[in-house]
Amino acid sequence: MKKRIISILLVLVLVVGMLAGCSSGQSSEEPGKQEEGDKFGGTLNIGTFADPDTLNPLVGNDMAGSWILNLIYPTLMVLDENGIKQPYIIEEPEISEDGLTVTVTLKDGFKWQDGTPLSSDDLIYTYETLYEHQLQWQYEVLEGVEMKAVDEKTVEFKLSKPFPTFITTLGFWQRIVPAHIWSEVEDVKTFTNDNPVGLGPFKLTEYERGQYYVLESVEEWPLSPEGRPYLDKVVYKPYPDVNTMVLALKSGDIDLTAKEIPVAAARELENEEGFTVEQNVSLGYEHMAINLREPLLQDVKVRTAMAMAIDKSKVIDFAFDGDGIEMTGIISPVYEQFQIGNDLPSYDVEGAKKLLEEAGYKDTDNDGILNAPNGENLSFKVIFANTVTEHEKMARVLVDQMKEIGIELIPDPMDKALQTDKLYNTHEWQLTINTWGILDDVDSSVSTLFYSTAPLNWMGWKNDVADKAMDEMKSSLSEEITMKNMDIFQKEIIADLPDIPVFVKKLNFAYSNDFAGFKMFPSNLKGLVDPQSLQQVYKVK
Amino acid sequence: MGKYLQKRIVKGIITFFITITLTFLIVRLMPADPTTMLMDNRLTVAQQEQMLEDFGLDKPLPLQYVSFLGNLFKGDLGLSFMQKRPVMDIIKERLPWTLLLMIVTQAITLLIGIPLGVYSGYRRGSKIDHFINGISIFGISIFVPWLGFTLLYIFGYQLKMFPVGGAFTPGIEQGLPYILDVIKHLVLPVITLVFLYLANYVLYTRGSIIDVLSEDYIRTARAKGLKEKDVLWKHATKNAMIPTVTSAGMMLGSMVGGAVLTETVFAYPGVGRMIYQAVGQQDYPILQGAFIILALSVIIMNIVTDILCAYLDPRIKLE
Repeated sequence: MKKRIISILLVLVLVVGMLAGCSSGQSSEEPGKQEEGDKFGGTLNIGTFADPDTLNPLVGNDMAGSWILNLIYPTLMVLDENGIKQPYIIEEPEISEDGLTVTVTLKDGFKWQDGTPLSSDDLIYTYETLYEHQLQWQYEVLEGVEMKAVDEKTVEFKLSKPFPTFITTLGFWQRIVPAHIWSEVEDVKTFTNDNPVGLGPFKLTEYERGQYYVLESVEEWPLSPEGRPYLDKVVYKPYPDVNTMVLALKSGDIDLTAKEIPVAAARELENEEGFTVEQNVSLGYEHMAINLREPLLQDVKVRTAMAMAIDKSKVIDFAFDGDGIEMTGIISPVYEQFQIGNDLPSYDVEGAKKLLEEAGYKDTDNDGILNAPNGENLSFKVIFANTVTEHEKMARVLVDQMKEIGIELIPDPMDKALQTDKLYNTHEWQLTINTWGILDDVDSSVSTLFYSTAPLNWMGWKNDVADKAMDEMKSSLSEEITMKNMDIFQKEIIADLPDIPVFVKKLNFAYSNDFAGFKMFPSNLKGLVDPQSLQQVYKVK
Repeated sequence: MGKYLQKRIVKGIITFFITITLTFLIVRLMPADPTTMLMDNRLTVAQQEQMLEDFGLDKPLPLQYVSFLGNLFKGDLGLSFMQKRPVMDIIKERLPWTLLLMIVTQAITLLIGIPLGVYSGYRRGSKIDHFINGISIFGISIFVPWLGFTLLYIFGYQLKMFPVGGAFTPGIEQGLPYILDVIKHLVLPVITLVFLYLANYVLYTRGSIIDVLSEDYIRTARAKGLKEKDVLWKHATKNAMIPTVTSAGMMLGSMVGGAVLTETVFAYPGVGRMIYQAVGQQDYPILQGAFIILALSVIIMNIVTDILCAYLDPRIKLE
């Protein structure tokens, strides 16, 4: 009897295993191509945190997806190592003097992976589709824009008003798809693109959702140092648990982490032989935003006192194990060129107390919390997403620091969706801890966060002088005008303090020393897995 | 028997209907608009409205409900917010892996749990009974991700006996190497889950063995001169199985909870990890689809266990 049960079980295991096997992709183990040149060959296994949301590059919108899609669908422009946008598959774009004509010319030698040469038709098809179906937010920059193909390689855009960052916005955010394939697609929005034909240093040859994505290098890639990528293959493997991902790195199942790893794991790997840990800085920053619709928070002295009460270095130490850079103004240190000395009020508990006292805030009912002249307690709820541990820790530090000056903070962790709903729709909040930032083109995009009508301006900040300065920056054709308005904008926002920036995270990425040639690009959006990095990574023999 | 079966099935259908209605409502009556998270912050108002329309979320609730039911009976669970693919396709990809994990776990847990329960009930109060009890209670109270990670650390990283996560090695040869590779990847997650669910079987079986052993027919069996081994394993165990079988059926629902954590830690591509990811991305159509499939399986399992119990104990009369 016992034997029978065991044998039934064994058969069951085998049968189920085979069934599962039926649905899996074919194996494609080929012998490593050992060819000329020392550096060629090898497979790089990369740990990621999730599957791509979709393989459709026109609608894909998440980070895990962008790491894979950016290798197979190009954008016109990319960030360089300093976060500055540079042409990728195009020559330097030409902008006419009046700022109304932008001409883009494709570099020579690029072919789609089915052999069709990349042409201006692909650009025009992509942008027309983007605009017609409003596929991504950047369709907006195409409003009132006329485009035409001047020749096979050149596209001319006619703008209705000057928009200096037109091509950097469109060129950086929009991936190009081959017109000859996509024009046959019935519905570009729901097209799953299961067998992508792309253009990039690698092509997606095999994948099993939830398990792995195999990308093989192409024969010809003009942007690689020796005309094609050194690696034979890049394999992405999703690990939803970051600790498992680190363990997989240590045991050799993967060679690189695309996603940043926890500080503790980074310190441990630094001391271990065979691994390199590299840091970069997040493009976003951690901040506490203030709802200016709340009567007690409308007093700028209360907001200023709160900013003065925050000891940022303590927040960094406690919430992020010291791996952060203090925000000194409203612009992240990543964009040094725009840090022009308009600093936040510095840490000064006594000064903050004095400021509140002079403004008439006293603890009239002796409960340890200051009262406003109308008798109300200076007591505020601070909302944050309950899944973000760092924000919870940050809230705990801020509670203590505000207590020092007699302001009570009540942490109110909640579901991310509920927090978002409160911030965008119902406006029922007082303070919130969050991450945000200006990803690119600081001069033209501060308005996405701070313009009085911007959806992301949850605070309800309305300052006509600042609005005007932001408008001017958006259409400015000279650096002088840009910087003048940047200064005006910064002075206004520092005086008003609708938002208190606290710190920028440092991100840690690790890789095995079996590989070299990595280049580090800004933030976790790009990190070590930007195509410009992977196209030149090689296996150390 | 036919009537009993009929009754159970009708009950099952009613339960299923209530469950899917609740699921439909829960997803839509959440405090936050289910589409909030879907919207990229930078999307324009026109784009946001278009998206609501694409997912049929601009219609009034009763209309949404009617089309939800209509689609459901066609086997259409809607489109995933994030992946923009049919939820049914996504679940179909993931389900085989979870089934494999669950069936193997159930089988092993039953194989180990029942004898342990019987033995420890029979030797009630002995040192070995305390030991078995201790182990089971430890298993049921342990934090699953911790156990999973510890196993990975010891057997995956330190001893290199098993792979660190995944369900099989990319590009492995089909046939026997593939099957062995799948088994190798299965071992640690199964150990984690077996440890977690062992207590259920051990404690249920132990409790009912203790009850059964004081019954008259056991005394009769012993008086007839049957061997103690036969009394215990044949006469007592069969009757003591009823609560265990019932709990096996009920466990299916709770097993999914374990699967969410286990599959996440082990990077196992099953339904549990799909749920984990969908929660993180607030992908409501996927969650809705997963809950409906789960409800359906729990209801079916309950009908099956009821029938099995009726077979084990003829006293559970069939009308």
